[in-house]
Amino acid sequence: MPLPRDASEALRTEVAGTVTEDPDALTRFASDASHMVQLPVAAVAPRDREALQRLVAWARRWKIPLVARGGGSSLDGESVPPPGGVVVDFAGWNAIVEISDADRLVRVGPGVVNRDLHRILASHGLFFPPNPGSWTMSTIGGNAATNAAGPRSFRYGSTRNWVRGLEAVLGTGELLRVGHRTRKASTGPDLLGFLVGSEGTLGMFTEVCLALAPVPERRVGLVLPVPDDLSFRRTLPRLLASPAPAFSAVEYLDRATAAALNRFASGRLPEDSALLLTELESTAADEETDLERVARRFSETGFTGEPVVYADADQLWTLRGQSGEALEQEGVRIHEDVAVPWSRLDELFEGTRALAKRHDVLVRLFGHLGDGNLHPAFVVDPMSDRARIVRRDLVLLAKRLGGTLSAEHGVGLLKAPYLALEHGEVGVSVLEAIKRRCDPDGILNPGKLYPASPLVPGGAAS
Amino acid sequence: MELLVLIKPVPDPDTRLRPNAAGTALDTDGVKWVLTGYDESAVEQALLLKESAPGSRVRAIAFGPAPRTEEILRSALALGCDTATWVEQPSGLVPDPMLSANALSWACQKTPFDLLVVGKQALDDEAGVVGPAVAERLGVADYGPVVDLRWDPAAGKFNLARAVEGGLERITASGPMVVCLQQAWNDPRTAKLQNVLKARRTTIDKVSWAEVQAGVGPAVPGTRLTSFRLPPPRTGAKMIAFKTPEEAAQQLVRLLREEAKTLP
Ligand SMILES: Cc1cc2nc3c(=O)[nH]c(=O)nc-3n(C[C@H](O)[C@H](O)[C@H](O)COP(=O)(O)OP(=O)(O)OC[C@H]3O[C@@H](n4cnc5c(N)ncnc54)[C@H](O)[C@@H]3O)c2cc1C
Repeated sequence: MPLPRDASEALRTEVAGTVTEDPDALTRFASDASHMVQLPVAAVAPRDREALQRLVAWARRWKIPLVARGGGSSLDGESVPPPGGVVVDFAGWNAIVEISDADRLVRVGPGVVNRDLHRILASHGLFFPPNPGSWTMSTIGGNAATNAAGPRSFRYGSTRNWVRGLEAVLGTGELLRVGHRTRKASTGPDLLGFLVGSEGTLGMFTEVCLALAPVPERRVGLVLPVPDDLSFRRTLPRLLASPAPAFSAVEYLDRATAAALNRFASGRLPEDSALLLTELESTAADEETDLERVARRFSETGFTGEPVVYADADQLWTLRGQSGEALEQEGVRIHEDVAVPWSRLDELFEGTRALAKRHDVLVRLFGHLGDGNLHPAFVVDPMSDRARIVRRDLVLLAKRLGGTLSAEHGVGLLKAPYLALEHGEVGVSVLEAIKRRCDPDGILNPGKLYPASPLVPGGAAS
Repeated sequence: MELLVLIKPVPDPDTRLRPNAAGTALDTDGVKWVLTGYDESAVEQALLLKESAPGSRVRAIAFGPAPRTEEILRSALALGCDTATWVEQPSGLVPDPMLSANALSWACQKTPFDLLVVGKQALDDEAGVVGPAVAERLGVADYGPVVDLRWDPAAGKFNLARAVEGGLERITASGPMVVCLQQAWNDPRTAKLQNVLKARRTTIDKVSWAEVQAGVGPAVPGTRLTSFRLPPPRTGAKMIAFKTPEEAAQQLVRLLREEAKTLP
């Protein structure tokens, strides 16, 4: 259904920027990486902040939902347009506003692509650590809105740890600037924290200020074949027993995922084995000693496989980032994301395999092991009832093991029904109060993150 | 079998490249130097041959400034090369491909060899001169671009395949000879941690610049890079509005003709 004629005319006269209403041109905004599809009624690339504020005023007047969009790479429908919705395309908002070497900060437009920023900062000897598998396509705005993370988050934490400031246009049209250029602030609850991970439901970011880390002198990737039945509860604490060697990433691929990746990207990964992928940070002077430490630590941990070295760690992470795509070639359609404490990882592996068997679906297991974060990938029709039940059971399993229902991908459409499992009824009502203040008309990305009605196990989602 | 492989440190294709202020050369500030592309395939091929003929040895040879050249030689050692030679390039010298070929050929003639493997071209200047020029200097045959290369122990000869227009040309040849390799038809390996550690402790043989000059005569580049620019930035895409595929095709043809002027 197209926009009403009057609304379309008003949009074009009131909002400076590019407006697209042609259905063919709109198809590229219709989905994210989750296989859900909803054609928007229009896409707008507002020219500037003021145009964005006018767009919000227009949307409130016409009761038309807006969805902010960066790279469109979300996995749970975060950036899939709500029915009758208008896409706000931030891809062109890709200015580098300021790079401060002195304060180790960068201010960017939300549309800057993660890896582009990485390349730009390299000549300053600085970097923004979260490097999601989608770093070649996802944007800083999207990373902040989903609190994204990557392999290096094992050492450096999620996007949340690095966002110093945000400028956002709220669902009221107000401009909110939050955060500090300082490293610390003790000035009440963390307003910035509400916005990070808010999935475009509270405000649309117009500028993001990020803290940066100095680029380590040396980084190498190390890949180690491990047994299929490895106990992570026992090995992880041993592998990570002391600060040296300084592992900055600890990833896992099961045998089938590693094989799929080798087929898909001629990955040169060791064949026929489950793998640990790690990254070591070091200096030119210490690298040799550190590599010897790694070799010793691997054998002390009880690993007997022969480790191989990727001199360019980023090459390894770009390869690893293709795991999802490689598995799609083999029929995988659901890319899940849960995390548990280290001590419960073995149960998570076992439980996930058991639930896949129970529902008669194939599962591949990989993820950011050091963060207790697993990405079970299921071969199942994503629109089927079985897919929904598999997801529900996985969520319940993670919660039962003291974990979280999403470690980094977000809540989106698919996990909104389970929000109360994560925050409790009281928690959800506090979140809803914040939503009402920021977006009283509910125009910002409705249906995402917030459950339409609070659900508990046994409720409508089960 | 004695195998030589020539390699060159090139800027990581993933780093942002830009010209220097004068616009006459690459700004090397902050550039990461790597062993990659055709060179990496050449190393892999030398190692595969070594594995197919027990008792063989591979020497990696590189001409370039310290420390980047030593680093890629260590990478080659870590992959499994047995020895390495660094041909010194004095700071301030901007070599051209012929000068590089002269310097390298001096180092190559120091070791008797059966086969010298080299990438068809380096990934940075893509000149493709060094392999044939080194062969010429050494007075041996050269073959390229080669897409398959095997050792036939019974005949004591190499079987190789050259990519030619529309097909493959198969050749049997005996060494010493130079082979210029096409990229990535083998799948270059990753280094084992143990080999990386061993490579650190291996001594790299050095051929000094003074020795090169004494050997091949005063080396001055015969060509000079006069300007260096990035390609012009791509301009925005144009979306075509249409109702039917026929209409889209008509519009596209019209635009290609009238605006882009790529159709007559
Ligand atoms: C192959 C692949 C690998 C992935 N690997 C990882 C991984 O390792 N770690 C990880 O965390 N995620 C990963 N993801 C998920 C996804 O890439 C991340 O969630 C990413 O942060 C999304 O960024 P984006 O720019 O594509 O956002 P989009 O998909 O465009 O949007 C995501 C959400 O952010 C909101 N948003 C976008 N821009 C703005 C803005 N300017 N203001 C307010 N809200 C905004 C949208 O409304 C939406 O709710 C992966 C996805 C794929 C396809």
